[in-house]
Amino acid sequence: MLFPTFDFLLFALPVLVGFWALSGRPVARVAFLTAASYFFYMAGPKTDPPPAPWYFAGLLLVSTTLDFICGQKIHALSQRAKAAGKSDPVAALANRGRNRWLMLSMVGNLGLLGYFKYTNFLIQAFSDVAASMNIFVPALHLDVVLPLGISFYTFQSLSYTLDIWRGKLEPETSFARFALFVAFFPQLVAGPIVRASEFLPQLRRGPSFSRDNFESGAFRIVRGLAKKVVLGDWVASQLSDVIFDAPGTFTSAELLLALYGYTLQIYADFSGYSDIAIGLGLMLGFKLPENFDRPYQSLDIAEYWRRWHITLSSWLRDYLFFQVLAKFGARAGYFAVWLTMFLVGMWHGASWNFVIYANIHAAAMVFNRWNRTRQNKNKKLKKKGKHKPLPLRLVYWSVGTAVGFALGAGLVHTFLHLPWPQAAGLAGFGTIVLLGVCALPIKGGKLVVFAHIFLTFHLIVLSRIFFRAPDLDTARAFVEGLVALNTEHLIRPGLVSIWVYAALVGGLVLHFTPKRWVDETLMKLFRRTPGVLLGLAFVALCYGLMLLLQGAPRAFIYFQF
Amino acid sequence: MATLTAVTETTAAKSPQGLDQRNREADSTAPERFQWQMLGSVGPAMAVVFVSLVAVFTVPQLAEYRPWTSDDPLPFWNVLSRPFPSEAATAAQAHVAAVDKVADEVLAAPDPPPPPVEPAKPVVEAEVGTKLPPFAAGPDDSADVKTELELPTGHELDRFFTSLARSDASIAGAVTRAVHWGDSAIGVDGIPSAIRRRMQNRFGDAGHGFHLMAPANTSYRHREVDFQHNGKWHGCFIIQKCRSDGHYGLGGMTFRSVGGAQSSFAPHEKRSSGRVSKLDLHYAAQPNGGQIRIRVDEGEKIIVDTEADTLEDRFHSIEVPDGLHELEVRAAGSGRVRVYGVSMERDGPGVVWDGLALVGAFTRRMLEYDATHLAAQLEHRQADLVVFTFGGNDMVRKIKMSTYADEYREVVQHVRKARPEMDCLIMAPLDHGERQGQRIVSRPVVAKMVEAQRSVAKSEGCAFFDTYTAMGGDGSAGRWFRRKPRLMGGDFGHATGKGHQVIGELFFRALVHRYVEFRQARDSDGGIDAAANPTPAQPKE
Repeated sequence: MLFPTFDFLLFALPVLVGFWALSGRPVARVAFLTAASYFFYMAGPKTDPPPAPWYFAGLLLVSTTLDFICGQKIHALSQRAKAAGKSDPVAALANRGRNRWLMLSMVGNLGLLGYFKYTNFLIQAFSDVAASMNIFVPALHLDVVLPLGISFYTFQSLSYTLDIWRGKLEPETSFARFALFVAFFPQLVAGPIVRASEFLPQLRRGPSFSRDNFESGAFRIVRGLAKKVVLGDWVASQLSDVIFDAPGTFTSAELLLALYGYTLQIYADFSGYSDIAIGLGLMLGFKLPENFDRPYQSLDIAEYWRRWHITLSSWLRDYLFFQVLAKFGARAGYFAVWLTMFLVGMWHGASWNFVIYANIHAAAMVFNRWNRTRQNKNKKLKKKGKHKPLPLRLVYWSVGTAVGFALGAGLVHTFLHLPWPQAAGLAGFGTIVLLGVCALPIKGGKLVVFAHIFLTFHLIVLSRIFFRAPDLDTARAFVEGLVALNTEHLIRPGLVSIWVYAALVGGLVLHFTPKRWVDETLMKLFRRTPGVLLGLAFVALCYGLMLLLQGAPRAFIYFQF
Repeated sequence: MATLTAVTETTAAKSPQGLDQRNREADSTAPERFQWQMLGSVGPAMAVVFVSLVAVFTVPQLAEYRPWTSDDPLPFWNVLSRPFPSEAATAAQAHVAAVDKVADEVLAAPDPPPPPVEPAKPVVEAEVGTKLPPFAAGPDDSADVKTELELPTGHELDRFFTSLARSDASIAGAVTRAVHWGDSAIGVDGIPSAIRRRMQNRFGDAGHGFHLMAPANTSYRHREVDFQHNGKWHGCFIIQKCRSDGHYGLGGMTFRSVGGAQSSFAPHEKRSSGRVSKLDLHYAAQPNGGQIRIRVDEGEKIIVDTEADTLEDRFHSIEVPDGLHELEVRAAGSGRVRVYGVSMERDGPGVVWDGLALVGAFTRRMLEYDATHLAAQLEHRQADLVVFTFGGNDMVRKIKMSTYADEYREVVQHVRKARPEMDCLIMAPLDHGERQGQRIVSRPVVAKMVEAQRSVAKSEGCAFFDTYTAMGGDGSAGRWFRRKPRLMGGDFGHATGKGHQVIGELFFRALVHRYVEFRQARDSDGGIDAAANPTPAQPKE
């Protein structure tokens, strides 16, 4: 079910009222909310593509049951190992046992995710690689439909067994409560990814109702709806979709405009959804984690991933990055960064586009880490009066630049199929930008801060080509159009209305304003407004959104993940 | 992402003992009960929303504000009405599934090979008074057909099928020709090429057919022809209405040069049978006409004089031994020359399918042709069938469908009058989609236009192929766009290369299905004369 639909309004009102009425009865409220969550998952309106087939609910239940049992077993074996003592063979046996149960949970969850999400891509990728070596391997295509929200609930559910295995969480004794944790409808299909250690205690304690929570929740819902529909859906239908569908027919300026539009759209769409999810959670008496923190204000790519889809990047940081470091030590740092970021990218989709997207961000993170380390090291050396001799530094930089340029041109030519002159031009541009970033101090005045934000923002914008393009051919056509730098006409009259420009500029400007303008000032205004007026304003907003979308809202972009 | 120097756990990690206590205390703590006053201003706001909802559904004057009407699917469709679809919905789903299956078959199969060089059956001479042998089905003749070719009286394609039967029986010189006009839907020769490939593999290769002297636009591309030009021809395209004499040649474009313009044509070695035995230059003779120089395989120059007292259509035919040959055509000066294009054929038996895309044309643009000129062109081509695929550009016009149908009728009559011996076939436009939010829906005009064209076909004695339904009907533009590989381009109105193959296959199957029925009916009626000439139909006034 999509949030900005009549179906959801028809669903949410009675569910909220029903849950409030049952708030004093722990068993009934959990059962009610779990049933409502499964109903939400399955009872979508008629859209294109059509909503969930019946077996989706089965998969959700399988994942839930698997992890509930695995959690119990892991905990029981952990207790046995602890009781037996370290050198006791019983402890060793118990530890092996709990590892096997964890493996079962991981294979089960990641196996489901891998099968539904990556199988066809892996088959195709194998065929493509073989074809590049002139070996013809027919690519089978399995008729597989990606279950809604599988990337979210598998990670969420896996955090439960992982935390129990690490001894940071007690297993949940109530299956119904655990099922609710996995299926909680506000965040089931598009996050935020909620950790068991954050949410299960809330479910056990029961909902926390307060006027502050209700009003904050309602505010978040209204804010999210406006963001998602106006800056997300509408900008998409008026600008980004039109251009991304057939990039070969647009000029470089129009393609760049579409990229800016999509950058705003995806933020508004996803953060808007998260706002609605968090708001609903508050109105149900539960606190969900924040997922966005004005990410385009980031000074570098590392900060960006601390502000964008926070729950995903922190999940992979805690359960993968730190584990790789713990196992292999600091020397594996670059590898850990690359691997984690690569998986963040690949989590979003299974196609060559996402392989490129993932590698762009992974490479950017590795570069960022290297640059920071280098600058910090140089600062220390400078203080001590030690520095490599200038000629040696010049040689290092020249060789590094030449190698980077050659590698960049080669990659662009090979994977994006740009002719050598354009590939070299693009690689040259990239090399100059990277040299500029190296020259830019990490900390500085307003100009330095602006430069950092500007460069980081545009790295994000350009990487969106591979995120949004439906396939690699379209991405290639997009890049080709962008580097063509055709200037016969910049943006054709009538392509974009003045309202779309206003939404684009307004949305991006608002993003760079201080948070308190919205979070505090607007919130205060919301709370001071009488309830009847709020209701009328909400009704007017809904009607306006209905007209804007012609009654057919888009699914959230992250629904497809 | 935290740096290496800050390897700290940031999860909400607390000591297991603290967690144990909190986990145990939850069930023993008295739950917080909800109280209405906690809602604050949210309570009245929700009440207003609820009252508004009730009001729009109960007050008739507020009907336009209803977020749901009885025309919309039931709320919670996926659990309420989806499990219980109506018969019409079930039938539509089954049809879509059947179309998808054909598309899967086409896409899974290797690219159709070029037609064989030699006919499948030995070539025989037709003896007057004898009958063709009884029909023997080809290997794909019984392929599943989900959208049939509509023959209102059952006899709209009799002459075409009779000619096809002779080609099928491998009668010497039995060439069956179709001229296929259309808008950009058949641009890049995509759909005609897919049909041509299948028809020639089934009935024999009689050559590529007509090719313009130079590209009419950037999408003019006949992949089966190895074509070059030096960019010096000055073209006048029928949609520009730039020739008051209405002489645009079969391909809708006339080319002029006072000297130096040059083009060369050859069958593509890999993408066609690579053979040609008859090269036909289509040109106009006119007062002060100049000279055209022709060479075959860079051999002896042939000079064609285009001087004449009045404007008249002429054709210069060159016969060569069946094989790979290149024709070079050059404006040789001594006046202005005016040319249309070249047709490349083989002696037969087989099929020729001319792809004549008029990109950007409205249907009525065909009326720009001068009647005498059109008759001369079609007479020379000896076309057995004319196929029309128009409507895509007409969708943006704000006209009534009855007006559009009248225009189409006029076009059909204009063309059929030029050659009454020809059968005709109207091929409906492809589905055209538009975005509504995330959905890609069919434009409402498409179904109306299909109906209008169907009525024209019926009234004018033409066969009709409903391409829109063949693609899957309502929503097929969106479905085809979402398929991997895509069958529909990003403008939701033009098929991709793969889409052309699928449409070509759907059309071919429907055509051959009717051909088989015709042959079976005729065989039981006494058979088809080996040298028969069916009575030409009179075009409707």
